[in-house]
Amino acid sequence: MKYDVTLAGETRSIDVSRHPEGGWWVSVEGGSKRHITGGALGAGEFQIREGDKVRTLGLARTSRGVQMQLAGHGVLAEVVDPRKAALSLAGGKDAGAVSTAMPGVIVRLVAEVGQAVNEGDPVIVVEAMKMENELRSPKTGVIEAVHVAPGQAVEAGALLVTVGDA
Amino acid sequence: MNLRPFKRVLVANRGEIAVRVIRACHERGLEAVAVYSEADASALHVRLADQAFLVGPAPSSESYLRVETILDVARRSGADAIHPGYGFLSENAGFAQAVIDAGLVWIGPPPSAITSMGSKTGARQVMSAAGVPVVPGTLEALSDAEEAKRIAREIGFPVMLKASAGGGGKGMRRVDSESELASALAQAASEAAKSFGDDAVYIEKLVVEPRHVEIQVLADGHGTCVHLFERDCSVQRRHQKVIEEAPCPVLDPETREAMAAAAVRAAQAVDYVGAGTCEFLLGADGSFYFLEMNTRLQVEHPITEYITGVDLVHAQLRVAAGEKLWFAQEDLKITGHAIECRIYAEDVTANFRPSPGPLLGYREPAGPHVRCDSGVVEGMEVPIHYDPMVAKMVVWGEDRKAACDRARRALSHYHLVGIPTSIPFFLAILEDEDFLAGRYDTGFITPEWLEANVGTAAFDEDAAIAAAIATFEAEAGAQPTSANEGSPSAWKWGARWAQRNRGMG
Repeated sequence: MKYDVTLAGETRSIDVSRHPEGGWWVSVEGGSKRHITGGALGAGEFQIREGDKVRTLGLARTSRGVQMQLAGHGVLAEVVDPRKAALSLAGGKDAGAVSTAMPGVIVRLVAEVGQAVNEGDPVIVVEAMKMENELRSPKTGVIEAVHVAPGQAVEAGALLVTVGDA
Repeated sequence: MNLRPFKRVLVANRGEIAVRVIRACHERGLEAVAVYSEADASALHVRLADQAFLVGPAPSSESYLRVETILDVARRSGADAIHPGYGFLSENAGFAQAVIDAGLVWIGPPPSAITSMGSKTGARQVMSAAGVPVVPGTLEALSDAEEAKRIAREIGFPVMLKASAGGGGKGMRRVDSESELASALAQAASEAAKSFGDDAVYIEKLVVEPRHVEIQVLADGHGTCVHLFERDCSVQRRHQKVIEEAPCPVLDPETREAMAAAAVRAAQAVDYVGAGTCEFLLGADGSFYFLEMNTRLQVEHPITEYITGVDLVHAQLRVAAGEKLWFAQEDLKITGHAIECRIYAEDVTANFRPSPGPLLGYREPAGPHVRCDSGVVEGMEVPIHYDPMVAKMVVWGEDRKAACDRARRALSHYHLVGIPTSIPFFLAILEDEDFLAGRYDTGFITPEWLEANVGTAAFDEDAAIAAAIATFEAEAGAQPTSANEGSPSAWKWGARWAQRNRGMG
């Protein structure tokens, strides 16, 4: 199975298949096949071995991707099957969506439905962990819809406001 | 003061400090009663307690800050003492008095001491009267440039002009010499008038390259007050402490002695009982000035415990029960060096944006002289409603270098998957030449420093391979037809993956 793995801003094509003696055949960017063994160690850890080399990495799969810990950084690795990715791209991306990167509580709306906004204007304020965060309009246009109300708790990735064309 | 033994302590807090207090209670044969909000039902402090009571919804104003509810829990649980931890109700004199009025033991200083230290200007007056140095200057508005010159000459340049109604840097001017004073005063007054509608400006000595150094004090109710030396908390970001160490790397024995004596005088001036901390500004020239007294246990108390061997929470419990201090000042000495890193759920690569979320993998570092105080366990969600501190990682070393080396090692062994944290920020500080040499002040962390030292994660091919294999196994587990291929061990991994990821959403 071939995957496109994006980690820390770089993407590699990685081919994984079963090795008859256990573990996997792995090839990075079409390079030579390497025999890797190992596997999950409890929740949130994954060990890979190649010859004498051992690496144990913080790793847990989530609906958003593979959550990892690299040199202390909490990072998300995107692992996509390029064939499936081609299908979902056809749907297109909503350029006017204002969504939250973290779970929180809606503090207040800065802009109302029908209001004209410029790119970068604050439109809504979300509070998480005693800090208020202003979310800004991704484009110049008109507030088309507000999907939440003040006081409402929202999950990471939730769509809060849609900005339509002027 | 008579003995007031108690047997069941209500811990009016959450997170790591609630856990810290519960541990101390159990060590001393006391039962612990936890309170928790709806967001904390699975938290560690609830798991460790002997009784646990839900006190309201997630927002602290509707749960942990509810005085009546907390007192009601005390009655229902049969608790006979209350420990407030830090934050929340710990410096609320009204709450302390209510606890005492309910016939319970308050594990903290007398309410009158909390009140005296609660107002900055009031505390300044009490401290001046007690002979504790405060930043020279005046809180009253200057009448004209001549008066400003006269006072500046008395306290010495550089000075700071500050708007009486001010804040946020508006109406503030640094003045290095007398010739600049008149025009700076006019500018500050005009800015103050524009910003606050009040042109009153006062003058204060500018402490150059200040360090934030604080002294731990401990007093019993029998007239004994000792100090447990200092902590250096100068490394701050937006006035929040991030890393603390004890002892202070630049404090000479004479200054330490003088500062500690001032702290003890400050505590005695308000008839302090229990553990408290006097914060000072330490100037580059060795001068120091009282800032404020925190009338509670501090977040960073473990570094003092490491260098003195005194368990401060045990001491709080014993002193509150009316015991005399069981050691004298001359019994205390500094052994080695301790450092604390406050691990926050914050994304250091995105301007320290809070990063609440699930701890999918979590294991604290261990080994000699490594201590982690936390209130979380693997699988728990770091809630969005409270302070983003996940844990305090504290280490001790025979000297400062050993402590720094150990802190770096322990941070690199800190297994935490699911959310970004401030761990990379600490790794960067512990690699900084100036920090390692002890050369820093409260201005150490600047946007430029962060830009130059705290980068994003670098690509790692092993990690990319692991991510691809983990995905491969999860997909294989979800489609059992392919599981018959390959080895038994590979199938086992796949099945375990599938099991674990079911319900993870």
